[in-house]
Amino acid sequence: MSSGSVLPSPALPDAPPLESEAEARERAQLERTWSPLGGLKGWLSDVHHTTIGRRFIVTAFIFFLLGGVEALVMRLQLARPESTVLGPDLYNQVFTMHGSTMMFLFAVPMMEGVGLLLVPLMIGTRNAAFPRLNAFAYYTYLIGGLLMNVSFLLDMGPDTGWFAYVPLSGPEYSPGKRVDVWAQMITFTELSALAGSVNMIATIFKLRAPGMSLNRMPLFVWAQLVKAFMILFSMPAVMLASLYLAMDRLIGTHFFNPAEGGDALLWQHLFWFFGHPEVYIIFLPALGILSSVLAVFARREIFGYLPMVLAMVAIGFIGFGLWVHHMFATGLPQLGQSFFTAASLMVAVPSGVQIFCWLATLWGGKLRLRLPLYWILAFFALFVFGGLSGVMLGAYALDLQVHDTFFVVAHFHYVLIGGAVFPLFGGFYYWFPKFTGRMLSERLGKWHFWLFFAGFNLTFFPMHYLGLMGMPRRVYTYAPDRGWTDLNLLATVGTFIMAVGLVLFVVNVFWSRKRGAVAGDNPWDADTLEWATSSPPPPYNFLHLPTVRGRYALWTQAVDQPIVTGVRSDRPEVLVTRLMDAEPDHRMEQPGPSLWPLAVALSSGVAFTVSIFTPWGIVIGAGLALITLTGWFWPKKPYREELLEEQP
Amino acid sequence: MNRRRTLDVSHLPTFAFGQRDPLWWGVMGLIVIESTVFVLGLASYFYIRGNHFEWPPSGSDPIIRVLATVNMGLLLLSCLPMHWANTSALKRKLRGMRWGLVLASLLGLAFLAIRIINMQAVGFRWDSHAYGSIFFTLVGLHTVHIIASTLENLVIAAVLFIGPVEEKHLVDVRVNGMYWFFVVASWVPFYVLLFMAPNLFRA
Repeated sequence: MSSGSVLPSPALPDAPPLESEAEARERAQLERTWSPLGGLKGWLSDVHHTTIGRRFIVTAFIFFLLGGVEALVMRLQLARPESTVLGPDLYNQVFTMHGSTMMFLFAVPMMEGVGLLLVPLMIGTRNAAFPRLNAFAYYTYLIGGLLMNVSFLLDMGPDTGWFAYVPLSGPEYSPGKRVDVWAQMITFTELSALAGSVNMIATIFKLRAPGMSLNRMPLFVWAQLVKAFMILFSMPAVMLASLYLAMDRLIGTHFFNPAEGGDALLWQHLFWFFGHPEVYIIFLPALGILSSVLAVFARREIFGYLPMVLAMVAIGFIGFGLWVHHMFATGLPQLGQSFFTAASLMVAVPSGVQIFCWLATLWGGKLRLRLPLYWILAFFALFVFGGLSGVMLGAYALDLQVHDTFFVVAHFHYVLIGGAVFPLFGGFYYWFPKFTGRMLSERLGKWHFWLFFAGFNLTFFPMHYLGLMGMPRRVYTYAPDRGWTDLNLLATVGTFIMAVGLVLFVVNVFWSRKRGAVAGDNPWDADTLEWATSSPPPPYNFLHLPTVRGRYALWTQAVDQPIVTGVRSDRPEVLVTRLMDAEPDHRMEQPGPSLWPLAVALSSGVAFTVSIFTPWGIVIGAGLALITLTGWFWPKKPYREELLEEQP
Repeated sequence: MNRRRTLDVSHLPTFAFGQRDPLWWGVMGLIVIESTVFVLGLASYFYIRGNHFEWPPSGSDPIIRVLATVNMGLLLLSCLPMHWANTSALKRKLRGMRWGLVLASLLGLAFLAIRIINMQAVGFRWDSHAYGSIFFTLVGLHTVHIIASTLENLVIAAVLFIGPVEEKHLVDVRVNGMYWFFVVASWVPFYVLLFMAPNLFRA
């Protein structure tokens, strides 16, 4: 390539006429080194972050559709009083499946997947830090999701709600295997999230492109980092809780049995110590998506980078201090009431800081009103609305009045769908061209947006009223003289409108994948490094590893922005940089494709699934895990120059 | 062929110790997760204890102080050979790494044997009462860590005996040592609370 080309940076790595012979050789060698193996084995052994990230996203989306169908069925049942679409037993299973699926099998893994897919590209490296651990995380998640859904088809679906309160879920009131299935599914998906988070932290800390110091990281990467730390500190609580529950049910321990000195409230404390941070674990990555989209479509840098980062970190801390507001109805000492009310209201402060920073960004920007921005603007309306009902629920006095009513259902759907699903769709429209090379249809997309937006509000806005009128959540039917009929019918109509929007979305994705307009490398003129490579990215991500000299990597790059050379292309090697300022530190070879992560995931699958029926499952699974983990760890064909001088 | 500015990294090493190394961060993440589990386990212990006037419940004294203390001593002792393995990794000496790991593993196995005797000697089971449940769970969780960590020591030692040994295995020895120190140190509060002073911090 001549030095006179306009952008000598990796922004145009795929311009074949300009490519020199040396570059073509390098590209061919990288292709050989990083491409997955062929055939079924290649498919099962792939460990590249783009593959695993895509699998997470597709799988989570399928679970999202399943959870959506469950919601549709529930709304059908509730559309009229004394309806008989579902009996009480099946209704219990369906609402438990809906909640558990949306929280554990859709929201968290979806955010994992988006981060896994994007972060290594955004920080300018060739793969995540521990590729095989990623593959393990995916398979573990898949096994857990299948376990719960297959059990549901066998009439063994969990039926005690997504937070499975004891004593209802204990051995006395829930005989049979339904709750055990739920408890093991929790263990699987939390294991997966923990593995993914460790990976995310190591990737972000150690694999950033030279020059991308911590204070130049894209806000999306910050959001993923804070989320990963929150997972480390919160998910152990629910794993421990589900372990206690499983043991109470299977081997007769007494953790939650008051007759033998146990305590039912211990469950609620442990569950919500996880469950409240969980909300922010879902919400923070959505904020990251939001900031990415907003900067690009307002054509300016995000207002107040430092307050934004501090606000995210603050949410990460405060999120751990307010779990008891889910337990206001359990009878708290007055100090507890006041403390947790105050803590709950306090989280509105960093959230407010962020909202005002985004508004300031919009204010000073030149808005391009394209589809991704639609979803973001809708987010502001819905999230602020849900935040307001959240402030109401965070106050002890009001919470007692509407506890366990549809008001709560309305509130958390506004914050979770408005706060996470809307930004997710915005992000999907934004990044789809990067990973398929094609644009999504703008026209179908607008239909999708307006139907989903209108349907969402029709569904959940009336639920505020239903709750205030006293309709409890989780009832399978109601009497005609309660006066709840019309609003329920309205909500059901809204759900179906949302569903139509979703169908259009799916059609759009399938149509545009093959026939959408060709996107090019950077159709939105965006700022982050993933737009500096081809669409879709090659298996090695970047032909030349980039360097960075500002917060908005592509907007601030110099005309002669240096590229990294000297990272080997005949081995899967990545550049490791220093934690704070990302100076180059050393080169690290990465493990290639492997079947061992699948084998380890399967052995833990055996352990947890068999242990539903007999405690020996743990012993069998542990034996299998020892064998497979040794296989995973055992070194393969070393390179001579990297051998130790002293050999056995 | 071109005069594009470059940042050449070919002279950089292919591995590094400590917080420069991604694997160190991976193991540190694992330690954070496990610490959270242990801390929440302690919280459960105190929570359940709050429901009891008499703790441990009458007729269930677990206090086999001698065995528990011997075991604590064995674990602390195992830090010496592990430290030997660790420093040998820095000096690139095979002998210290191998035998350090083997000795630490032997002490780990001795610890496990005594723990089995110890747990058989307590006069209650996990299904006797809530005290038994939390007692056995906390001890069990830690025992699982010792088993897993001892096996890991042995697998790494096997690699060092069989070979070929690569430079990156030095890093493995270091982070494995770090994890072992964590497993040893994390037992100290449990040893004190479960075996020596069950009513610690109680008004």
